[in-house]
Amino acid sequence: MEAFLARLYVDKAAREAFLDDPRGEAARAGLNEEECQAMEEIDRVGLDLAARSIARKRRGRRAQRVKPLP
Amino acid sequence: MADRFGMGWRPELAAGIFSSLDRIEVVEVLADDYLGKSARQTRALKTLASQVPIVLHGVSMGLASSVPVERRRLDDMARLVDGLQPESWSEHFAFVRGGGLEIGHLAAPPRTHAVIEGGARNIAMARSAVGSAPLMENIATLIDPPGSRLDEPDWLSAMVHAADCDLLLDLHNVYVNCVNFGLDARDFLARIPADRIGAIHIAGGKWIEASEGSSGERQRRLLDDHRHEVPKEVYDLLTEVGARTEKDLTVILEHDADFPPMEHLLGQLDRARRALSEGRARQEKARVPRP
Repeated sequence: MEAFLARLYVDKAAREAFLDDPRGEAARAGLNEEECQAMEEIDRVGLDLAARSIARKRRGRRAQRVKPLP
Repeated sequence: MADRFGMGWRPELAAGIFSSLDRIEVVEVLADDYLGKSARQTRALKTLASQVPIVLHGVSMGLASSVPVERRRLDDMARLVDGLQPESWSEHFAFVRGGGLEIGHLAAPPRTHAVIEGGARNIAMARSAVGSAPLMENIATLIDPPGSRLDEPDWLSAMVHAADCDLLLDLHNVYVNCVNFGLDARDFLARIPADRIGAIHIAGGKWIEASEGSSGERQRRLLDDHRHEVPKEVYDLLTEVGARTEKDLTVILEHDADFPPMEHLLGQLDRARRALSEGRARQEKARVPRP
């Protein structure tokens, strides 16, 4: 489940495929019936916002590594 | 000891922090900036630690997971803690990777018993490797974690109990999650074990809008971005915590970017002092027997 969520959060193509067919994508990823059901009922607004927020963080981290103490 | 107030170390705040040590009683340093670094690279950190108590804050272990934590991450933290001797160290109730992918952000795991068991195992491994248990922080999430069996207060309480660890309670995270998912923040505090709260984070955030939905309506949620002023609601929660626990607390203000003048940050620390003190007074008043 965590591996599946990690992919949804960082991989736009995987996320779009999932949103087109949540149950099918979850099943193809090997999630069990209960997990597939949960993924079908996913908080879509939250997924959109979380994915965008994560993408911003990842871009920011690449652009500017946090500088340690001088 | 008494309640203490401090802020997160950020290079942009260095001069302000060093010149305000009469008003900053503790500094929280991001451990990940120093993990695996040489003694020479951590020398400046030791200089800081010689002037003000420091606590370490980790972000990359991913302890709240059904997947075992990587041993090398624990060993790196153990070496840093051993070299610096901070007062404490902390991590998050989050997962940060899965299936070989780094998320690059703290993610809320499904609130299930499997994650509670895995998280407790990971925290036990961390305690064993580092020599002390981490304070564990509740995280903010924009998504209601799919597959959850418990709501957040019940899950956090069960997690703390199973791992036998103390909480680094982030009050802005409590606030934003309650706003975003329809929980009552005071009820949230009432349902978690107050005697396990060891430290507090305060911060600010902003509203963000989701992409347009099929109905043409845009929904919005609160983001914990550490770039804005601490809202009044968070100070109110700090007062509430002060009334609920007798333990001395370390309160850390987190501000990561778009830095205001140091005096403005110190003003927020002063407001936090007043808020916590008000809660302590409330507790004291409740304890005095009525004639």
